[in-house]
Amino acid sequence: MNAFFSMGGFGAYVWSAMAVAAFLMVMEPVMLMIKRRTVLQTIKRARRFAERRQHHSHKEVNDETQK
Amino acid sequence: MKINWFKYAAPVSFYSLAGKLIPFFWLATIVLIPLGLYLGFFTTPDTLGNGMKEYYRIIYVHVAASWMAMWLYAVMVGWALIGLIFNTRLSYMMASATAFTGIIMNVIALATGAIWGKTSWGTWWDWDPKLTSFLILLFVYIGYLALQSAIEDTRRSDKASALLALVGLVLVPVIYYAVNCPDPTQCASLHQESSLERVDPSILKAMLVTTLGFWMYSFATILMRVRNIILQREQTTSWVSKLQEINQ
Repeated sequence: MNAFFSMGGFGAYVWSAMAVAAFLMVMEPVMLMIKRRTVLQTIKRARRFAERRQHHSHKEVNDETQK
Repeated sequence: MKINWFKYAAPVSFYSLAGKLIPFFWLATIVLIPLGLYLGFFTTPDTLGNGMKEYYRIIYVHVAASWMAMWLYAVMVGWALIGLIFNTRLSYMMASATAFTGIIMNVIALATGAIWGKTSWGTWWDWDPKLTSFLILLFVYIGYLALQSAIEDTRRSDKASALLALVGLVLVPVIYYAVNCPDPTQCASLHQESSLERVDPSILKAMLVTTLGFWMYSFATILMRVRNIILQREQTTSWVSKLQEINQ
């Protein structure tokens, strides 16, 4: 097993190369999932805001008709 | 049977199609890459034949990532071209989604290449034609994304960056010939020629399986990114507001 990890004395090079690739290829999808969550949140917030405003303006119209 | 090729050119139908495809690409990725590495580490000789010792095993990620960086560039230009010809919004979104995965692959290729270079040439970096043209490819990728984000109007930024991508395509054959020099007396290249035909078949098999895994990884991440881009660009449309993920 030790012989496998030492890679004939080049273990540090081989494993650090693998680690760089693994790190980047795990980070990329993680970042994409985080991005997806923030995009969805932004859209939801914008929608809630628009609904509230619509609701609000309806109320104003009603108030005016009652006067 | 008449197939409507443009059906999936509409972001709304592509968004759900991509969502269905992503899990399969991830499954293929997590099967193929470990399998390729297993083959590469356990079923291959300890030397590359030309005297390279065990550090040659960096080849599995280095070559796969380098190939992907070049191929993805061609894929990106393909999408940009389709966008310019048919003026389909989705093609531009695909081009833009491909760029960042290309950058990741390019960085992996450069980083693992530097580590390999340190063992076999004794230096992390050299201004060898292959390495230099690869670095320029990275800059073109970055330039493409930078130009896209610099122009606020989406239509303009799509078109301008598509043109830039098209111009950058000249680099791909340059990189190829920087390694596979037609006349070796004319090129002073430190980077060895790609000598696939002289490589042990077991090494070649492991390399191809890993590369296929990298392709699957690229498809998965590109589709994930294009879904984010579609959501961002189409957020005011009614189909987005009817999406289940928005309403839960």
